[in-house]
Amino acid sequence: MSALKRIGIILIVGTVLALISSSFLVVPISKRAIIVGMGIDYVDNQYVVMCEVLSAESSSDTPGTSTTIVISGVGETITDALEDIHVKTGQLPSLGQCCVVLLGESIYKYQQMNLPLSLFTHSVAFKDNTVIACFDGNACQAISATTAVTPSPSFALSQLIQGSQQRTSIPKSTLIKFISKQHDNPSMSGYLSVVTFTPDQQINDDKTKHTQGYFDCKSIAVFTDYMYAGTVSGDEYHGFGLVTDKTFHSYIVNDEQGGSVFPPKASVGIFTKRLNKDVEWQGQSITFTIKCNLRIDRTNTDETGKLFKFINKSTLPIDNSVLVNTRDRVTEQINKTYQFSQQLKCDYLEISNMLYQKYGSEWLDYVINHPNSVFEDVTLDVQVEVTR
Amino acid sequence: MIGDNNIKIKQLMLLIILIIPGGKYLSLPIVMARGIGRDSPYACLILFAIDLLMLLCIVWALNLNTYRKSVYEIISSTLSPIVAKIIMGIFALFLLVRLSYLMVYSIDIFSSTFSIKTNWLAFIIPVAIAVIFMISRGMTAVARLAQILFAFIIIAQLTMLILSIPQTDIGNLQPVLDKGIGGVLRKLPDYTLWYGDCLILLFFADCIPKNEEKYGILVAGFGISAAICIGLSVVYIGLFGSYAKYNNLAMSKVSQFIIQQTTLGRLDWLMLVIWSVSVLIKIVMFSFCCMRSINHILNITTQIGKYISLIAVMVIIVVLPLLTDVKQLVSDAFSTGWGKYVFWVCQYLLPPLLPLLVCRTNKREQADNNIILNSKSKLKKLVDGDAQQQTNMADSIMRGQP
Repeated sequence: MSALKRIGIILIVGTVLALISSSFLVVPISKRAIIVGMGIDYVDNQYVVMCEVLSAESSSDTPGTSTTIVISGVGETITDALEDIHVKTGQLPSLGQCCVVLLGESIYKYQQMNLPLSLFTHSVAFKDNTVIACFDGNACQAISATTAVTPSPSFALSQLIQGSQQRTSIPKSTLIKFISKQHDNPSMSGYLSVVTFTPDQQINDDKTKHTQGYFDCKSIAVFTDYMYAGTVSGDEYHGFGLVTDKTFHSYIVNDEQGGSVFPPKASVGIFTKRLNKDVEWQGQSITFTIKCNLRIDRTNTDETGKLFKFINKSTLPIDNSVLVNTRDRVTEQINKTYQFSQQLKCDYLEISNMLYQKYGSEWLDYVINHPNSVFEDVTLDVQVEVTR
Repeated sequence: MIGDNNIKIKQLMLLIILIIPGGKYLSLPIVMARGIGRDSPYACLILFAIDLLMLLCIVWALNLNTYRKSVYEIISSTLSPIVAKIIMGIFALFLLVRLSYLMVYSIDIFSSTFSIKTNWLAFIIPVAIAVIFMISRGMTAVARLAQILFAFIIIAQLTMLILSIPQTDIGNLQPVLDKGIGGVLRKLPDYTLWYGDCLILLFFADCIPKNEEKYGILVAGFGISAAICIGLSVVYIGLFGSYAKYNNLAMSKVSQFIIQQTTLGRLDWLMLVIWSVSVLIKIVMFSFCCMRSINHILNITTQIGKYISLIAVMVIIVVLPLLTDVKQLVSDAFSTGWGKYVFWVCQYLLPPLLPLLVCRTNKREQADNNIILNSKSKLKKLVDGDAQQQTNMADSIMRGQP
């Protein structure tokens, strides 16, 4: 290679490097606030955002591992509040790793939800399958609390709602699921898990002062056209999980034959759940059929909700009464959740969506003139089959 | 000096599998969802079926092309050099439009994944240099590179597809064809621009070794890539439902769903990076074909001339987004506008005609060969006759006869 060519190559490479180094937004990791979870409240006409961020500093207890810190910002919009964090801390908020967003009562009960969530739906970095949940109270306080098992509240919440999905009756609600279910869909309804926090003790160490406790999630908030419609809990909540999501719930039912050998109650879990929902529409009559086939067995130690696969059948007998009682319990829960949706006038079982999927535009034309038909003209037919 | 461009059919098959989904999945499902809605996978299926017919014609033509003539030579010898140059011009424009669009969306995926604000020049100049370098090493080297990276890219692509499936809601694809098939068919012409990737095979008509005959595997390769594209389109609509039209980049959106546990970090970014290599290979292939079209139009045969035409292609791609909004231009002029009808000449008129043109070229070639053979034999006879006469003369001189 001639000297001239070498000089030419060096010049080209130099120019390209100069362009690259001056044109990219290079932010060192220490200058980034990597948000793993955030709580959002609306106080005095302003959004308060509390973010749990990964700290670049190593934990003093276990060197080499990262810790999390909590920082907050205030603004007229959520974007402003994040900008406030940037201004106050000098760290650029980074949403790409966020695994949970908690919306306080002041937001989810009183605001049209597509507005506060629009920042996340428009963001290219924010994951669409991030867990969005409502918090019964002040979300910012929850994000600054810790749990005894998992010190990070964001990871604890993510584990609670997503990680334990098949072992509990908690339905999973993500950003895109919530938004898309209410957008251009005739049911116009969505749901979000409602999280509560029960404080155990106040922790006062050298660095921080925070509350330790535990989160739980035993209800969902349902929305119509992004507005809060009500909270579904108890049997209605379990019924919703049964017919909507891949949730598996344990049941304790009467075991009439248990008698002296076994306790009079039997605890059963679910091996498989097969769900078949169908709608029939004729004139003004709509029939909503839910066929639910459950294969159950007694739960062993270390089992809740969904039973482990490929386990040999237990020698413990399951009496027919257990199957019948489980069937009756499941039927009751499904009926209750349906009745509650009628009461709330919120189609969270998505009957209207199913009708649209089956009958197309014909249903849309009908529903314009009969907006309450899914609450008034529907006959529910629940067929539950429980086998071992 | 531009390297060897010979490519085996098996390598071409791998390239087809890589380049058809590569790039097509940057934005196409979103663009189609905006126009056709939840029925867009069916539109995708129909357009691939049409492409398959075109591919069968191209494969037939390649099979007939025993003299390994280039597509320019075939058209030039059968129709006319002017027609050949016009068709090459359309090809060049088609490839330039597709290239510009690919590049613009590549920077979008780079921005959304790695750097929030990416400077166009700082992004595109290294890419352009890489493309020039790869083409300068020859298509044989690019095909070898594709062979080496094939498994990694396909694994990344299938990972993004398969791991997202559990989160899809198949109900989002219903009602099926609510407005009838007519509604989809009426919209189809607006999306033809994004298809016809198999046309690049025409530019390798003279690069396939003469002993290669198994052209059927090209159709198999096309089938695999079409299945991946349709699968991704179904998954995308299944994931986003009525919200599908509001996104910008389909692949970066779908890839987010490969991890259900959000606390596990961003494995999707790793998959996306590996998959992006297929987009780069597609850019290289399109640039090479565009360069060849320009070379045919301007009768460029020298090495330096080829480099200049390649650099010219890159300069157009680099400068165009600085002058205008490429996405809007492509959408208004070439996707929904008049431009698509011009491209149909290459996409849907030329391939069915090609086997016929190749047959005519073969006949001419055969006739030319016969003429040459006859001329040679006559010449040989003449030469032999002359030699006999001269020998006789020499004999008579030796014998002392006049």
